[in-house]
Amino acid sequence: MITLTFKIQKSKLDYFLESVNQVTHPVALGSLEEIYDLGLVIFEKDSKATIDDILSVFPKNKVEVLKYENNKYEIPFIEKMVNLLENKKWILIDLKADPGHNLINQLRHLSDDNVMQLLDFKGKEVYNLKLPVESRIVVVVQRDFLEKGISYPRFLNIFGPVLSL
Amino acid sequence: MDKREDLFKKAEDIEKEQKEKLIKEHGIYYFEKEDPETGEKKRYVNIMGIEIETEATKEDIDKIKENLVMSELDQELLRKMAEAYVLRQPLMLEGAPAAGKTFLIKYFTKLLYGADALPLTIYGTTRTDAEDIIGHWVPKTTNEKEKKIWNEFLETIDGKRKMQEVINELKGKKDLSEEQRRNIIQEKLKELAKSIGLTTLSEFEFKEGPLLRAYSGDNGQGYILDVEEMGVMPTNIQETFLPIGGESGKLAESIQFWGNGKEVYHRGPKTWIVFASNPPEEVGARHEVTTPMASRLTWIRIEKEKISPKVENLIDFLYTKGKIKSEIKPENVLIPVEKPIDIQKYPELAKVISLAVKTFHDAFIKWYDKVGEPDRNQKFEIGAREALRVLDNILKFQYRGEDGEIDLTISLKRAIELYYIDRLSDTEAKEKMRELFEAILGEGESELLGAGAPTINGKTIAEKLKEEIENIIDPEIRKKKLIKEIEEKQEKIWQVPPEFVSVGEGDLELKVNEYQDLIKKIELLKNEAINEENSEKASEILKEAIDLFSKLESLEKELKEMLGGYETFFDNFKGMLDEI
Repeated sequence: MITLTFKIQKSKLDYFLESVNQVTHPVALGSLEEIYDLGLVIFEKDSKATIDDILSVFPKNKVEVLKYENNKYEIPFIEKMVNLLENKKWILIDLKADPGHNLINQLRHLSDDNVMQLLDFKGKEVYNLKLPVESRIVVVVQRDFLEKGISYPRFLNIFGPVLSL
Repeated sequence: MDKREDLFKKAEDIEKEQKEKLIKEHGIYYFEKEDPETGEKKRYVNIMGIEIETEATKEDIDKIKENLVMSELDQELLRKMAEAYVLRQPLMLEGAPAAGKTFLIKYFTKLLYGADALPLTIYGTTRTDAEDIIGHWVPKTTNEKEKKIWNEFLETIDGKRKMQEVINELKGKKDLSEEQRRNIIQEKLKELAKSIGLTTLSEFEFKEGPLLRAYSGDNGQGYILDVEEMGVMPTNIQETFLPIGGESGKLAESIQFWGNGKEVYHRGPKTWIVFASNPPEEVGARHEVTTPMASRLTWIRIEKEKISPKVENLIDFLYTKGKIKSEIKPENVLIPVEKPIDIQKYPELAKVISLAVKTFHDAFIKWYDKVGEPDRNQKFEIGAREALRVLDNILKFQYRGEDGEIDLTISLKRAIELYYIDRLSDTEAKEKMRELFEAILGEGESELLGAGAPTINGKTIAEKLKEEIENIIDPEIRKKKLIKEIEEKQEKIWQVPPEFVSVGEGDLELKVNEYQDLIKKIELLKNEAINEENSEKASEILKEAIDLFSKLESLEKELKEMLGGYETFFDNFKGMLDEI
C-alpha cells in the first residue's frame, strides 16, 4: 500500500528519474558533446523508502538491481553490469560496501564518457562499451554509509542528479 | 656542412602559410603528405603548430574540432601536450577541477586515433593497488567460488606477501627462458592455491594491467595511457609508475616486470603516458605526488587565473552552439622549422647552449632550495632530467626569428618555460624565473644572477648563439645573406654634403677622404666577393666589409662633429653677407 509520504516522495522520485533519463550535459567544459548523468539516491537515516519503492515506478523488465557487497572480488559484479547494459537495462546499484578500484573506475568512465572500459574482455584487448541510450545507472546508498563508509574522496562528483529520500 | 635551403624564403613562406591556416582553422587542421621513402600517402594533424601522424580521418578531425571551444588555456595545453607526445615525455597536468585536463587528454587521443577513440584510463582511488596498474594472475577455472576465494586471498596482507615472494624468486632466475619462468610461476601458484585449500586450481593466466598494455599492447604498438587522480592514490602505489622514467626524461624504452615471467615490455610507437592530478593544497584528500615520481614527469601546473577566462569563452561557445569560438592567438602558434639544426654536431654551438641551461639550472635549484614554494605541498627534486628534457626539446623544436634565421633563444625560452617554470604555481616566482633566463641570455637583468650574465669572448649568450648559427649556415646561403646585409647597410650610409667634399682642407679634408675611401673599399670588397666562386672565401671577404661599417660609423660621427663647426661658421658668414 502506498502511503501518503511516499506519494509525495514519488513525485520527487519521478522527477529525479526523468532527469536521469533525459538531461544531458557537455562532456566537459569547452565541449558540445553531450552525455547522460549517473544518478544517486540517498536513503536518509529515518527514511522508510526502499529499493522496491524505486523499482515500483519502472515498467517491468526495464531495470535490474545489483547489490555491491564485495569489494575484494569485483570482476563478476562488473561483468554483470556489462551484461545488463548490453541488454539495454537500467541498473540500480545497491551500494553496501566501500567501492573498490574497479567499480570506481567503471563509474568514472560512465560518468565522464558514458562508456565502460575493460581489459581482456570478450576476446578484446580493450573493450569499450558505450552506454546504450535506453540505459542509465543509478546508485542507491544509505546516508550513514555514504558519510562513513566510502573512501573515494570524489564519490559525489560522479553523479549528476542526487535524490534524498 | 648541411644544405639548409629551408632557412630562406621558401620555408619561411610555408611556415607563414601554416600559421595563417592554423589561425583560420582554430588551431587544428588535417592534411595528407606523401612519405618520401615509400611514396605512401600518410595522414597528419597539425595541432597548434605541431604536426603528428594520425589515424583519424578528415571527417573525424572536423567532428572533433566542432566540440572544442579552444580557449586560450586549451590552446596552450594542447600545444604543450603535442610537444611532450612527440618527444614521448610522460606528462603531468596538475590543476584545479574544471581546468579541462581530462577532457583535453581525451580529445588529444581522438585527434590522433579517431573520433571514437579513448585512451586507456586509470582513475586513481584510495583502494588502487599495484596489481590494478600492472596486472595480476587469475585462475583459469569456471569454478566461481574458488575464483572468489583466490581473489579475496590476494587482497589479504598474507596473500600480497606470498605473491611478492613468488615474484622475488623469479628475479633471481634471470638466466631462465620465459617459458621456464612461466612454468615455475604456475607451480608456485598451484602450491599457493593448495595452501589455502583450493585444490581444483591447476592453471593460471596473467592479465596484463593498463601500464603493461600501454607499453606493449595492440601487437606491440602501445596505447596512450591516461592516469587520472594520481594524488588520490596511496603514495606507495604511485611509485608503481617509477619504471616509466627513462633517459633524458623520456618514457623508458622498456619496462621490466618479473611477475609473469615475460621480463621486458618494450615501448610501442604509440605509447605515451599522461597523468592528471589536483593540487593537494587546494583540493582536499589528495596526496602530493612523491618526489621521485614527480621528477620523472614533465610537469605543468595549470594556473588558476587561466581557468576563469576559459569559462567565459565556454558560455559564448555553448550559447551559440559552437558558432562563437575563441580566437587563436598568433603568439600561441609557433611553427617549428622542418629541418632543425643538429646541435650536437656543432660543439661550439652546443657549448653555448649548455652554458645557458647550466647557469639557469644552478640558479633555479639555488632559489628553489632557499625560497621555493613554502605554501605548496607538491615538492620537486630538480635533477639532470630537466636539463636533458630541454635539450631534447630544442633538438626537435627550433623556430625562425624575425631575420628569417633559426633563433635558438626562442626554443630555449620555451623549453625552460615547459620544463622548469611550468612546474611552479606562484605567478611572481614564475616571472622571476623568466627574468632570470632572459638575464642569462643577456637580454635583461635579474637579482638572482649573482655573478652577472655569462659571456663568451665578451659576447652575451644570445649574441654568441646568433654568431654560431651563422657559422653553420650553408656558405652559399651565407654569402647571399651577407651581400643582402651589406646592401641594406649601404643604403643607409650618410653622404658627406657636396659643399664640403671639395671645400675642406687639412684635418677635415683628410677625414672626408678617409670616409669616402672607406665607402669605396666596402663596394670593392662586395664586388670582389660577388665574383669569388668559393663561397666560404667570399663570406670571409664580406665579413671584412661588414666590419668596416663600424669604422665608417665612427668616422661619420667625427665628421659630423667637425662639420657642425663649419656649418655654424658658414651660417654666421652667410648671415653677415646678408646684413651687408
